[in-house]
Amino acid sequence: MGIYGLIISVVLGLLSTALSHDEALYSYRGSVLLLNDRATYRGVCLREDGTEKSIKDNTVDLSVCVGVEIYGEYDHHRFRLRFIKRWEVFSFSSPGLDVLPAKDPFSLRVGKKLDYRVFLNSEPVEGAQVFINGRPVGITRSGGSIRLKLREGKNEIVSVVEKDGVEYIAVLIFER
Amino acid sequence: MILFLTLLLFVSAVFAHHGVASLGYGGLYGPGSPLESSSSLTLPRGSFLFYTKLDHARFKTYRDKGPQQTELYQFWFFGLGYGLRSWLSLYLFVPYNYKKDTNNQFNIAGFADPILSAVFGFKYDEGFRLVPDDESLDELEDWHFTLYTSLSLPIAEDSPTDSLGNIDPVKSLGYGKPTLTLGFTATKMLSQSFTLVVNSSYMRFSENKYSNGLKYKFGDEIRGDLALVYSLFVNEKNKFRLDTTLEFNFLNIGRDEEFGKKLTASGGKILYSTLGVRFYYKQMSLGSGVKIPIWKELNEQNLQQGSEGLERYRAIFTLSFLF
Repeated sequence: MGIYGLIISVVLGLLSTALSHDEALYSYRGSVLLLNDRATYRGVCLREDGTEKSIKDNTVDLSVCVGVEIYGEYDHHRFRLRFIKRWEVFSFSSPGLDVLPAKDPFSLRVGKKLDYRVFLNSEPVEGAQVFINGRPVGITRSGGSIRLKLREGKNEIVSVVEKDGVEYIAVLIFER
Repeated sequence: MILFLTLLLFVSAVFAHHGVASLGYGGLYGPGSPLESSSSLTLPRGSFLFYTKLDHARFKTYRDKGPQQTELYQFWFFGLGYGLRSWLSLYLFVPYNYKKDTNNQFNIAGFADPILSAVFGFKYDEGFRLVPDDESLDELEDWHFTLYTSLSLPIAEDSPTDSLGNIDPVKSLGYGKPTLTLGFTATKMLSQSFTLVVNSSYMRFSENKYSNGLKYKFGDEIRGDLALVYSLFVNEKNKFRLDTTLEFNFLNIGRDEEFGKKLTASGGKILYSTLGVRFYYKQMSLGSGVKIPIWKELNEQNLQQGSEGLERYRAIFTLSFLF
């Protein structure tokens, strides 16, 4: 191996190490949601039959839940994650950061636009960053609103706000 | 944007937007802006835009046309825009012109008539509505439109003379009377990479009485532009974006009039093609391109040396800052 090969190997090794350092708040394995090990959290899974099950470990089988709501924190992060299969299971008010659709996303056709609002402790947030399916799509305007298209398949809306040294993250996931 | 050979053209050039650079995702991933055609971007509410543009036009010269021919025009534009609302932008443009003849007998340079303009923006999103604040990328994919108008303030020198005391209206820096422009644009992101821009405008000149008694009116102008912008590269981390643009710019110039009579050796139809690139970095946008006539039907082409359509090329440079 020449000197250039050695340099390339070192660079690739460093890059690989950097990429493998997973700071993601959550990830998926099929229909199973995997929460970051570093986070502490509490949550509930609402089943089809109306019963609830507390979420105690860092894996959540979304296939058995029609609604999931999880609160958690790690380091200087506070997060809320909602997963819904039906509009009726949606709960609307609670402390922390929240991203809420203005109306039932299951009642609209894919491709139509839907207004979302971002609240921090029930107060609308202007300038909150919003991502959909991992792609930045803008910031909230006055009144905390942002207008987004309904995607076919997964709609994963993430809002991020930083306040007083704490990063608040709200996640809303549903499928169309 | 739009431009011209005589003063006529450049005034409309001013309206071409602007390639508004923005730190936001809209600036990185939103619709692109051509160099010549006005796009339908309005300024964010409460923000300022500093804008400058150079249109460097070099004309064909001919052995049989005598020693004094139009060789070079440079039209500079310096502008300041303000987003009064997300759907209403106001601009003040101050042009500076340099016009050079082959024998340097009637060169002229100086500030031209300043121009005030207003741009009204609206869009179609399940119905027509005003452009809202802080549009998301999904909203930026909608059809956007603008109606714009501008008025020049006739304060620049309108009767410059050569060494013999002759006045040539084409060499004037100002028009002596206000000029009015009305325009319409439509913009649509065809995909995450392609943006389509359509622009049309009408520019009307008024008759001016020059200091030697000459009454002269420049021919009105109608423009139609079709532009396609392709986003070549985006670096989100460093707020960097690179676009390439292809435009077709049609210009119909009416005949000039002297004492109310239409003049020969003026007016015609020209189709230009403009190829360029635009580079965005943070709040800055830098664009450059070349515009050449690809088709023309001038009224008396043999007598119109120095007219639009008879350029060798036009080189365009733009620079703007949003703050």
